[in-house]
Amino acid sequence: MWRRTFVVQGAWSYDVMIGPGLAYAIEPALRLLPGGPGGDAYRAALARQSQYFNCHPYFSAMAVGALARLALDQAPSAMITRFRGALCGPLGSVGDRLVWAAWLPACALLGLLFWGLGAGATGAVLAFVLSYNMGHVALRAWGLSEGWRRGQQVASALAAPWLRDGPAVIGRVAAVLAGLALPLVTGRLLSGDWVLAGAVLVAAVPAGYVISRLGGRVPGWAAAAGVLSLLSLVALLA
Amino acid sequence: MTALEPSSVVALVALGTALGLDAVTVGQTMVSRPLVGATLAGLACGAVAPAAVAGVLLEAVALETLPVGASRYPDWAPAGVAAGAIAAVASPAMPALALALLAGIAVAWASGRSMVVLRHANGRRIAAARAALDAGVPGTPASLVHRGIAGDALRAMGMALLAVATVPLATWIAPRWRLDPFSTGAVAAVAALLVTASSTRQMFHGASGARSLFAASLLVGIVLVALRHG
Repeated sequence: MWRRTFVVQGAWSYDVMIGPGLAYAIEPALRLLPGGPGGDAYRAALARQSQYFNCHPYFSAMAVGALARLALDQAPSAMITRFRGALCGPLGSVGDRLVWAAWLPACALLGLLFWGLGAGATGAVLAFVLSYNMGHVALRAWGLSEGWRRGQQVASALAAPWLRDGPAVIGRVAAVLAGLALPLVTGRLLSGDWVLAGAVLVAAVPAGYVISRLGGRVPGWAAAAGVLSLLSLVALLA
Repeated sequence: MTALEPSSVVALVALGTALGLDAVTVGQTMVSRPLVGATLAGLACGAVAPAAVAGVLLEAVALETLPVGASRYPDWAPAGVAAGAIAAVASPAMPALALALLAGIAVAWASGRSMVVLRHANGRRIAAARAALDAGVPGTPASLVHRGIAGDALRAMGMALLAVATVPLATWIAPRWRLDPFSTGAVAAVAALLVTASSTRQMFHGASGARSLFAASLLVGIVLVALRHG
């Protein structure tokens, strides 16, 4: 089951999201049901787990553990279906806030900061990949273990203080990393011309603030593409 | 202008395919991020250092992207390959960097669209297998997952080919660039870092005191740059 949680998004679709992937991840546990693989209990459980499911991919390990536990405890099917549906929201929102909005940018900024401080490409890449995946793999392992151990009571694991306060703490760390990385990356890129680096920051930070106030109407990448397209035109037509 | 060696093309396509799979379908270890992808692309082309610079700046752009479930977002895996290869192969360096960023963003957008197509294709496969899924036929979820991964590998390979196709164009444009390197580098940096600055809003959401910490750290960073290079 552990290895299969890494491909839980293998059949991602807009209709049932990761439902079939979740069934694929849980399937090894279902083989232990009375009647074995292909038996009535196995088939009913596999069908149940193949329906719509959506949550953060790393936290899906927790769902896999808890749902496998309930299936092997032979909990009533209606209860498993209700529980399965109730897991989607919390496992999605906790994962999105903790991983996508906090942990990923913080680790990426750490890699950028390493490069800005003079590290080579390998150092910057390793700083990012190792720090990120320490959290990533630990989260999957913890989720699977907690889900299996707690079964239907898995919601209590989501109330852990580090999950509640983690995004804010990581957000503050990311703020420090971003503040340091922006000038140091600029300084290294412009070969130490710190006056030009200052000018870049004076332009980039307020422009970024303005774009952030537009509420997603103009994505940052589109603004960057616009600036670079204009630059290319000027450079080629000048 | 330097052409890509055939061995580099093969390595870049293989790399782009592997990184494309990592982005969503297999693992999500984030080796698909541009910082990693561009550096590895530079390795495949024999010039790591300039590729890493492109990776750093493209990562600064990618920071704002939250790969949240059903949202539609740029896919940065082939973007890193395109940017790293262009920065490694094209010259002069600063025009190559600006073109690497532009090509990277364009490829990321195209690849994001290809993900939507793949997800609809997965949906059609699942709909076709609905009766077997509802009957709990053994092997049905496994078959869907395996075919989904195979489909994503094909998609990722196509996007890697697109990434490689941007390299000759950039190597043709770069020598015709008429702006000085410092202005070019400065504007490229503004383009990338404004996205980082903009993404701080979502990063700091709910983190009390983060804005003050950001401002204080920014000042410390500026002082560090001035002390190191002033």
